[in-house]
Amino acid sequence: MGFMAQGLSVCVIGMVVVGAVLQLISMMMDLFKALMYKEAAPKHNEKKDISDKTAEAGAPGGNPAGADELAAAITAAVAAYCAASGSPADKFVVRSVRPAAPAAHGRRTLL
Amino acid sequence: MNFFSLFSDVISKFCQSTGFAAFFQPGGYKFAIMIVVSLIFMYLAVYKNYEPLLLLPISFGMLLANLPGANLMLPEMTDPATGELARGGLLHYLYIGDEYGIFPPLIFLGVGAMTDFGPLIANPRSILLGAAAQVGIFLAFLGALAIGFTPLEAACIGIIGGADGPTSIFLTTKLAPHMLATIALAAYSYMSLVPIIQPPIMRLLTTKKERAIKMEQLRPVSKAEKVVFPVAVTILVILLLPDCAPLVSMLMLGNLFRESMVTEKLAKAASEYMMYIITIFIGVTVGATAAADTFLNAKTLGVLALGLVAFSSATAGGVLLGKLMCVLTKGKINPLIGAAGVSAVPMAARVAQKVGAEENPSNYLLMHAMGPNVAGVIGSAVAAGVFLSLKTFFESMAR
Repeated sequence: MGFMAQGLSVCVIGMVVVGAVLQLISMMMDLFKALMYKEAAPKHNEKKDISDKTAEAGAPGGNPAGADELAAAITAAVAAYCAASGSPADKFVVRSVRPAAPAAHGRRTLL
Repeated sequence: MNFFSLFSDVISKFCQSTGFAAFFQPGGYKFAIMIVVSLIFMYLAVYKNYEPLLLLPISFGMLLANLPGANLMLPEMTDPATGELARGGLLHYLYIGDEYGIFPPLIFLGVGAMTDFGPLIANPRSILLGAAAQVGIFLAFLGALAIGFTPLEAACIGIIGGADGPTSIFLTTKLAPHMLATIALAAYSYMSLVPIIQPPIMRLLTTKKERAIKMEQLRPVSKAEKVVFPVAVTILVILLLPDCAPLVSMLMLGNLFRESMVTEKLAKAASEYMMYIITIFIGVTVGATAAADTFLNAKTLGVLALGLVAFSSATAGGVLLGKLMCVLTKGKINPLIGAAGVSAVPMAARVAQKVGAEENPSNYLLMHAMGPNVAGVIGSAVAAGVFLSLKTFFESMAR
């Protein structure tokens, strides 16, 4: 077998091994998740369970239960401030709350 | 002998004993070139902020190795005349940590203690993006073989595409130690250029519509999942590929310190104090291997060119699989997160976030990109394990 053909076979083997190992890790995580959520909430389907947990944790974008209340509270606070300062109080309405995006810059890496 | 001839003899001997004399001996100009190169790297680190934590110690080590007469990298030697053992230079002893493959896994311990694997656990499919980005490693390997590098050297050049400094150093010390400085410098230089190299490739391979895709919020991950993950990955990966045990085991041990929440002091020690101490040692000693004779040759240019190929093709591989996953999931995955599969934690994820936010300012891809990003770290360690396990085969290829 030629030199380059041997090299090519190393590439194919390498990619297959890397892909297979990472795929196995992925499957293992799926399996563990399925087992864990099955134990935690046997009466609910998984999707429902996850969205409930998201809501409990107040995670953004997951329709968190406390987010509407927080938005209403901020709206009320802004309205109160506007009313006190004499400006129209209905200009600000907070519809949803989400965390600020992490800084997307910087040069430092861990590796 | 009169006074003046004695005086001139002493002055002449003194001048010849200084490092300056070496510059005027045959080949002495190479030291001067290497000193200039080290000063350029130092400038890039200090004034351009290119990976200063690594580039500054590396460039200083390079300077020390090329100051004639300093002999900081000189090994222990027995004087043949007297039989006495002459001690080696300071950096020679520190370099043992690189040579024996001790420092890179310790860096991985710190990285594990700093890294949150939550985004990867929440979206296991993103691990495949980390696998796709490893294609750059194997393409660069093939390219290096094609232009005449030995298989062992080609493997070390290929691993630059993993965008993972400790893995590059670990593999090179095992397969081609004479190329350590070149490989480490190429790896860290390209890693610092991730924000410049990746965005044009990402824009070229994706449409505006794809870049603007908003991804669903990741599910929260329980403590139990985070604790089981490092243990399970350690068992699985090491049983499959024992050669990558030093890297994977330390990465996962560091992460277990972090996620168990009962060893906060150990996690802090690993991710802060120890990591910075090892970074100093590894940086200075890797730089010190860049002696003029081994660094100033055509191979260095070849390594730099192939390193760029490795990085670019790794980015392209991740983005292209991201596009495929985008089609298969009917537009639920933003292909940009595939580019983060090249490791370079967390900078590659930040680049994905930045490019995505340019198209849609309300798009937050950072946490989604962290999944492939940390998968890339595991993927490049696995690729290094594959190369190590093929060492004997590479040696037979070279014959």
